[in-house]
Formats: sequence, structure tokens, C-alpha cells
Amino acid sequence: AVASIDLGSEWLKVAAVHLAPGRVPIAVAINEMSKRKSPALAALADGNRLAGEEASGITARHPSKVFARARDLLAKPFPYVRSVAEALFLPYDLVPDARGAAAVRADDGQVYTVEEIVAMVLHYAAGLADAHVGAPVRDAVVAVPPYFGQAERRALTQAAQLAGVNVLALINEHAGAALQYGIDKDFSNESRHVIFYDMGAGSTYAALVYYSAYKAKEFGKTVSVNQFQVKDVRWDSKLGGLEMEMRLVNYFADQFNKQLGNGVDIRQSPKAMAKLKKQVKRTKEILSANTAAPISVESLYNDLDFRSTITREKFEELCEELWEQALTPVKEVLAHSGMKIDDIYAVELIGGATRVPKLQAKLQEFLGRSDLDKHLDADEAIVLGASLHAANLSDGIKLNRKLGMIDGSTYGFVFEINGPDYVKDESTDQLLVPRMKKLGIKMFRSIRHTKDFDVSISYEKASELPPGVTSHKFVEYSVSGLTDASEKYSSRNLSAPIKANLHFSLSRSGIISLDRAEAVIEITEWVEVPKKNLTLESNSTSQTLSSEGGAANDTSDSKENVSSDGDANKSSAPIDESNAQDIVTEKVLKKRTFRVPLKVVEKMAGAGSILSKELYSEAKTRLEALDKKDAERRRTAELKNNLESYIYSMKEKLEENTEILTVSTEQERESFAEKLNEVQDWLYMDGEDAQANEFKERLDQLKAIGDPILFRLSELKARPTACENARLYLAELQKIVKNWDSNKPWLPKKRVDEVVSEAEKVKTWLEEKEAIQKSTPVYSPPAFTSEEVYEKVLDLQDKVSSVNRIPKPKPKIEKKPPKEEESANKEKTDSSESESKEAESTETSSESAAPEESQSEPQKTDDLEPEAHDEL
Amino acid sequence: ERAKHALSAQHQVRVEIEALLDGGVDLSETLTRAQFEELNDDLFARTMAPLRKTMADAGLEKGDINEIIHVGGSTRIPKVQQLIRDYFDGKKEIVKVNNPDETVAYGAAVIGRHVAGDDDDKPTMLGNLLISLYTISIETAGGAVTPMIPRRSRLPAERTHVFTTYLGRQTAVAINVFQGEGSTAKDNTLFGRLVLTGIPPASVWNWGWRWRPIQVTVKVDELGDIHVEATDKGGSGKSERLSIVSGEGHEHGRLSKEEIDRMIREVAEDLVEEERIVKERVDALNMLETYIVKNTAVTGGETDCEAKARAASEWLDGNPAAEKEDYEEKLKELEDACGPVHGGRARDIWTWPR
Repeated sequence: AVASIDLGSEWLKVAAVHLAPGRVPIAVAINEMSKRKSPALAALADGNRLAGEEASGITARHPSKVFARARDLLAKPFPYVRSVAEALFLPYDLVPDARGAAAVRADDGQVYTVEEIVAMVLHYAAGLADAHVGAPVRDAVVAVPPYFGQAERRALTQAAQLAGVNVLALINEHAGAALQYGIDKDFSNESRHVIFYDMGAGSTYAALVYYSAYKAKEFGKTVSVNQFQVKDVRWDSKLGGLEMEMRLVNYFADQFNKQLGNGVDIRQSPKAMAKLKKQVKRTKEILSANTAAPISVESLYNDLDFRSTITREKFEELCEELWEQALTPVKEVLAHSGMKIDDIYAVELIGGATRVPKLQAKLQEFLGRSDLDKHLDADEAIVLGASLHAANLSDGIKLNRKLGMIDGSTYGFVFEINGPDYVKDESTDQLLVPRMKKLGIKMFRSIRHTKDFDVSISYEKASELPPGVTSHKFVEYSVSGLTDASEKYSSRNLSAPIKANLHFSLSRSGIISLDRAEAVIEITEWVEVPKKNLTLESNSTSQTLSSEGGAANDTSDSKENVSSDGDANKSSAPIDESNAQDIVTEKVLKKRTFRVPLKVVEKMAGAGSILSKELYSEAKTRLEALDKKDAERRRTAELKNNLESYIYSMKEKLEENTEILTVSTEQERESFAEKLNEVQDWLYMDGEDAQANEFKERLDQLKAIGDPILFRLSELKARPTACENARLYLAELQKIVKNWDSNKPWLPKKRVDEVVSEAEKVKTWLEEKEAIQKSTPVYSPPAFTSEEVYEKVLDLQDKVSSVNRIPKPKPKIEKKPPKEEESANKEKTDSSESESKEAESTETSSESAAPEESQSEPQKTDDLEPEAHDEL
Repeated sequence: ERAKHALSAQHQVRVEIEALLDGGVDLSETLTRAQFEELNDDLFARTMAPLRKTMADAGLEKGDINEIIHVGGSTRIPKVQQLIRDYFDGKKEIVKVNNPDETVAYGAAVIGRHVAGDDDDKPTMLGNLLISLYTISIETAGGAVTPMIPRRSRLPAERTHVFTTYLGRQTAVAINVFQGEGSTAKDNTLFGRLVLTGIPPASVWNWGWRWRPIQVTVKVDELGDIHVEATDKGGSGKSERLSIVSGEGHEHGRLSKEEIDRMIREVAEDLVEEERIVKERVDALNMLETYIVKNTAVTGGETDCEAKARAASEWLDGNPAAEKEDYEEKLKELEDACGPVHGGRARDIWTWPR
């Protein structure tokens, strides 16, 4: 099973892919409140960690301990985080961490990074998937908004690792929605452009997606395969439902301040603002359905209630400029793509805030369409689409329908080289990844340089930066080893300038990195090879070969050979001497290439850097401690609940169960009731803070008193039933024994008598025990138990079975030694006779032993060496 | 409401209500599941009345009920589930459908589709969207499995493998199709079973044909349906086919536990019976062949007995599918001409090597 997680600004959704009989294979998981979306909150209160619905429950009373918007605060500089928190009236105790990013201090003084807060939320999400599937689910695809930059994507991946979630991939939210939209459609006859317009709690974007089909060969036949490509996506990372809510919050805060007078501002009260925000959310939702809505907050401030109403017109007026802003992403997408509204097949609305009537009216007006497209579930389209992606990436699950997905990087990237003596041959940064370049690619770049250098990757200068990010540069690597390599090979004859190859990758999660680098060094060397001087004269061939062989040795050897050859041939052929003198060697240029791996070290610092190994380890330890504490808290609650349940049920039995009166004495009952009350009182006083083991001990103590009573109570019914069953069996046994006499006369009398005797013993034992029990008070331990009765009956039953299984003996026939004729007939079946016959055969056939052996030998070979094979 | 929901998942919950009373007094207390159950004890008891009445009106016993399906969100309350479980003496497990809140609406949607006349048999998108990919294997003698279609093979996928019979002169084979990653049959899930019968036994004269080659082809089509074909490649050409459909919700393609148990029992029984029959045939054949060899002419010339032996040998080659009774009858004919088994001329006695 795999999961997908859509972690939004305000809400999180979880879908699980799980194949089981009778279940929908892909479904949204529900939380403990039976809801399909959960608050993306984590809380740290009194040393405990709460997440999701539990965290939401304490927001109003402990606003400074419930952390919201954690996703949007990941990998951001501390000043930015503080300004966001202030604007949203989030009263956290924020402190800068070692990287300059934000961290929060819990009420126990412990400081947690934003990655840890996000990890708590993701841990909760994984728990929902576990509960849905019924088993641990650890692989997940996580959806991210398009404006998530490099630091944010890496920080989110790391937060997931802290939570124990293995991220198969990050998927852009719009790609998830596009996947969900297209999976059940066929584009082989008609391609189409669709715009996905998403306004969530925290941001708005519009994505242009092109659906089409292409021909592919599969097992020799041509098939049509559907696919989509994300052409462009534009966003406003600040515009969303939350912005509207803040307009309302400030409006009502001003109203209330007027009522208060005296210059008091409730904005200074975190609790008051938390309550106000909570009610404003409901008011805003009502305004989507009604033209006016009330707001009512009990005891908003200093025991004063706040009541007011607002009309839809007023709400729309407060958000006057937002409606025009809402159209900007759509306009930009159309403008940059060179497309017109008429070219767009559909505009699909997703995100909770798209339910606001004014927004829909504005979009309709701009698009000139009477109806907007709402084929997708605004809340769940992204997480369901992400689950399709997760299924595709997992082992063991495969999508039956094919829909190719081509999504691109939402930012363009450039890289820059800095190093001593490096001469930049271009006036601008070198483009590494153009915007909307397909995800999941590798890139290669080569530079000429001979010394160690730095590589930095930055967002394209022309592009908008992720929210809160102030520097275009987001990562820097130092590449070393090039200086050493250059010096090592400088004495060789370089045929080309030394180059450094850089290998980048852009993962399918949209994360770019410099994976490795290598130096490439090409040299040219002179190598001596013999120059072949073949002549047509046959009488010179041997001499030439000899000379060539000599040339392979050093110079002096060569000279000696030449001299020797000359001397040997002088007398016979003077002309040969001149040939020998022509033998020479020559040098030839040869190219060699060396590749030397270089060391690549990432050295980014600042808010955008990921947790170092040490910090990660510390965070992991802290979260595991919280997990342990959480498990202990649950165990304590369970044991406490068990104790309390026992007290309630036993009290009820003592008061209402009439039969319990008979199996216990009044003194015993009073003593037990007194003990129950004593423990119950303790439970509500000291028990509030007791440890788990203490609850268990007290429960065991109570059970030591109560269990004997309950045992006697159950035996009151079970024992007579057992006795009755035993008597029935004994009666049945008598019939069996009679049946044996008539139908199985061969059974040994000793065994039969043994059974009868044993039955008599059981009967006697039963009568004696019953007599004793009759004179024993029912509130005393019973004289015998139903279990003992059944044991004895079963033992007896075993004996009967073993006797019953004795088979009928076969008759034994003894005859005199047979005559010759009878003996011949008997030989057919009597094996002992066959043996003697075989002996005779051996003796009488001795003359033909050799040919017989030769015949049988090949067959034996086959028999002894059977082939190896799979047998059915 | 929040506390009630939370107590279904936890044993304790904190109830926080701000400004409960005038004066801004907040409520903050813990509530345990035990307390919740105690408060509602009478209500829980009343929930059993409709159940008892329904059973009584229907005239059914507890044992007659096959499945219990929860409908409605409150059926998630642990106490409610426990009461129902206790009523059925703990012998019925509650079926966990996807979401008790949605069961009724889901069913209404199905009816709505039917009423609207949209009754085509197209599978629902989600139901037919996913295929569970596991290795498909064939069981071999001793309980091991031979993988045929590895996990995550690209579909459609097909593979053919030649197996052999296990017993000499075996006339039937059971092809058990398993799904899973285990190396033995018991570690995997039995998915289907195919029996190929009527395989002619191998003749003792041809040692190379002691075992019959059985070719098995397993194919998984685009939809994940599994097709199995088994063919006797030893001469008879007999073959059998089996299809296992993955189907909507993966229900049709799955064998229930009862079916699997029954299959396992049948396999055991069938093999015992088949083995006995095979053994009897083999014994009869061995006797006949031994007698034929004993009476076959070793040197030139041919007596009446030897002529009959040769004829019997030729008959044997021409009747590979003969039954035990046939062998016994032929042996009797030979005895008429050559005398009783192990009789005859001493100088020609010869024993088949074993």
C-alpha cells in the first residue's frame, strides 16, 4: 500500500492506495472525527505533542502552543517568518536557529525547528493512512504548490524523513489535479487545453495543461496513448481564503474596539484573536451560501460578548482589490502562452476558496462563460491525483490506464563558475534549466579551467523568487581536486586545455543538484614504432625481418645487428649491405585521455540550507522521544480506562445482579464495594497523575477479590450443565458397549471390561462430588468445576475410541506342504517362492550370462541417471 | 461531539470549552471511555432491541448469519461493536466496508444508475484502475513453485515452460497456479487449479519416455486476467485451459478461503486415488512385460509360445493407453500358450534386471 499527502497551508488530506477485496482501491482516508480533511496543525502543550484534530481542539485556549502554517514557514529567513506570524496574529515564541531560519520554543523550553513541526504534521498524516489501510504505510507522494522553491522542496523532503515517511516523489499540485482530471478521458480524437485554477487558503495559481494522444508500438501493434503536458503555471503566493478571513478579522476587531472604547485593542490579546478567527471562518463559509451572516463570540475579551452581522456586499467591499488580483494568474498564463480564452476547453476550479461566489462571478465575467467547470472535487482532486502517481511509482501496483505526465520545473535555473584565474567567457550566467523544462532529467556542462573552483546555482534573474526568499542563489558547491590533477599532468604534453565536466540532475521532485564532476585531460605522446621497409627481393627477406626484430631493442643492440648482418652478407651479395643500412625507426603521436573524479562539496549556509547531519540526528531523537511519550500516554489512558470500566461494571453487578447475592456473603460484598469505592476515589484524586503500572496493579488487586465471585457465578450455571452432559454420555456409553457385544465380538474382553470399569469410576466420582457440592454453600469455593467434569468425560471418550478402532483380525490358514502341482500355482503370489525360483534361474542361465549383461547395461545407465526436471 | 468521536480512537479525551459560564469561566476536564460508556449504558442496552426483534421476526438463529455490515457513523462506537459481537457469541467478525457514513449513499447511487437506465457493464473507473502485480507461479512436486510471470512484468506478459510428470506412467497432472513471492506453495496464495487427465503412460521399452513432457503456458493480458494452458507434448496432444479474471474490486479473481481449503482437500484425495490406480496398472504391465521377455526367442527359430510372445509385444507397443484389465487378459492368453508364469523350459529362463 502507498499513500499520497496533500499538505496545504491550512488543511491536509491523505489518500491511500490499497488493494483489498470489496474495497475501493483508492480512497481518501478519514480522521478520528470522520472527516476527510484534517487541520494541518501541530501543538506542543505540557510536554505532549498533539496534531490534527487534537491540536485544533486546544487552539482557542492555548493559541501560542498550536503551530499553524508550518508548511509556508519552511526554509524561510527568520525575519520573514516573524512578519508572517504577526500579520496572521500567530503568537508563537519564535527564535532564530543556527541557520538563521525560524524555530519555535515550546512551553517546556525545548526549541523545535520548522522541519520538526512539519514532521509532526506528516507523522499524523501517515497515521491516518495506517488506520485506513490497517497496516503501516510508509511510502508516499507529497503534493507541493508550484511556487515551492529548491530550499522548500528539500526541507519538506527532510521533514518527511524525520516523520518516517519515504517520499517517492514530490508532485506539483497542479500536476496531481491534471492527472486526476485526465485519467478517465480519451484524447485520441481530440486534444485540448485546460486551465486548472486553484485558490486555496494560502495561495492562488493557474496552470495551463495540454492533453493529447500519441501513437506507440506495443507488441507489434499500434496503440494510442494519452498524455498531458503542463505548459505553464503562474501564481500569487499570498492570495487565498486566509487573506479574505484576515480582512474580516480586522473589520470585526475594529468594531469590537469601538465598543470597548478607552483605546483598548484586542489585537494585543492572543486568546481573543484566536476566538475571533475561529468564528470568522464560520461566518465566511455562511456568506458563500447566504447573503448575510451573523458572528457571535462568547466572552471575547474581559467577559464581554461580541455580536454582529455582515452582508455579502460588505464582505466583497472589504476584499475589493482581491478580486482583480485573483484574475492575474489566469491572465499571465494566457499571455505567456500566446493563447486566447477561446482556445481553452475548460477552466477547472479547485481549492476551497473557489467556492466564494464573488470569485466565481469574476472568473465568469473574464472568461465570458456562463458556467465554470467544476468536474473535480475542489478539496480532493490533488490528493487523489497524487495517489495515482504514487501507485505508478510503487512496486506491486500498476495503473491499468495510461496517462503520460510531463510536468516542468516552475523556476528556471542558471549556474555560475567562480574560481581563481577563471575567465568568464560569457557576460551573463549560463542557463542550466529553462523554465517549465521537463522534470526528471540529467544535464552536462563542461568548462575549461585548471584550478579548483566553485559552482553556484541560482534562480533565473528574470523570474519571481519563492516567497520570503531574497537571494537568487540557493546552493553553492566547491569542486576540488582539479588543481592537483592539473599539476600532476602539466609535465605531459597537453593536446587540449584541461576541462572539468559537471553533471547536474533535475529530479522528478523538482530538485536540482550537482551530482558529480570530473576532470578530463588529453595528452599527446611520441611513441617509437619500427618503420617497415619491405623489398621485393626475396633473398633480402630474412635479413629484413632480422633487422626489424633488432629495431625493437635499444639503439646499441640495433647497431650490432646491422653490423653483423653486413659482415655476413659481404662476400655473397654486396648489394644487400645498402638495404640493411636503410632500416630506421620513427616516432608516432598517440592521444590519451584521463578522467579524474573531482570532489564536490555542498557548502550552502543560511535559512535555505537543510539540516546538517548532526542537527538532523538531534531532531530525530527529539521526535522519537515525543513518540515514546505519546505511546506511554496512550497506554496510561488505556490502563486507566480498564480500571475504571472494571469498577463501573462490578459495582453494577453487585447492585443489580440477583444471582451474585447467592454466590457471595453480605460481608464479602460490602468489603468488595468498599474497596471499589476506595479505588474510585483514588482514581479521581491521586489517580489523575498516576503512572500506567499503578493502574494495572490496582486493577489486579480488585480482580483478586472479584474474579472468585465471578467464577462461582459462572460455575453456578456451567456445572449443572456439565453434569447433565456427562450423564448423557454415560448412558450412551452403555449402548455402545452392548453394541460391541453383538457387532464386534472380537474385541478383547479385558479392554472392554476396562472401559466399563472406568465409566463406573467416573459415575461414582460424579455422584460423590455432587453430594459434597450439595452440602457446600454456593458462596464457598466449589467442590468441583465444570472443567474437571469435561476432562474426565473426554478421557473416557478417548478410551472408548481406542477400543472401537481395534480391527477385525484376519483368519490364519495353515496347510500341509503343497504338492508339486499346487506349489506351481502358489508361486504366482508367494514372494518367498519367487526368491528360490530366481536362484534357480541364475544357475541354469550361467551359460548366457555375458550376452544378458551386455543387454542390461545400457538400461541400467539410463535408470541410474535420470534427467533433472520440474515434476508436476 | 468532538469528544465522542475522539473516544472511538482513544481511551481518554480532554474537553475544552471556553467561557462556559458568565464570568469567563473555562471548562477543561478529561473524559474517559469508561465514563462515556457508563453515562450511556441504558442507551447502549436499547440498541440491542431492534437486533433481537429482527432475528426473532425472521425466525433465524445466530448461526444463520453470514456477515454483519455496519451502516451509520455511530456504529464506530467501540461499545456498540462489542455488544453486537457478544450477541453473536464472538463468532462473527464485523465486515469493514469502506465508510459506514457513505454506505447508504453509495447504494443509492448504484440504484440511481440502474433507474436511469445506464446499465452498461463497464467497470467503474477506480475499480478497474489498478492491477495487483505479483509473481505467478506453478507448483511442482514437493511443494516448490516455478515462477512463470515475474512481478512487475510489462503487460501483456506470457511465458511457456515444459514440466514433466512426476510418477512413471502417471496419467494425470494437477497444475496449481499460485500468486505471491514465496518460494514454496504454502507461502503463496492459490489462485486457480487446472487438471490435465488422459495422459498416455510411457512405455517401459522406451527409457527416454519415462516421464511425459507437459507444456504449460501462462499469459497475463492487459487487464491483468490470467490464462493458463497445459498440453501433453508427448504424443497425445491433450490440453486444458483455465482463465482467472481479475475483475472489479478484485473479487472475481480471488478464491475464497473455503474454496482454497476445498481445493487442497481435493488435490490430496485425487492424488491418492490417482496414485493407487497408476500403481495397479504399472504392476500389471510389469508382469506382462516380464513374461513376454522371458518367452521371447533368443536364438533362431520360433515356437508357438514364442510367436505369441512376439505378438503380445507388438500389441503392447500399439496400445500405450491400455488398462490394467487389458494387461491381465493378455497375460492369460500367453499363459495358455507358454504355461504358467515362471514355468517353461529351464534353459530359457531369464529375469528382468531391477
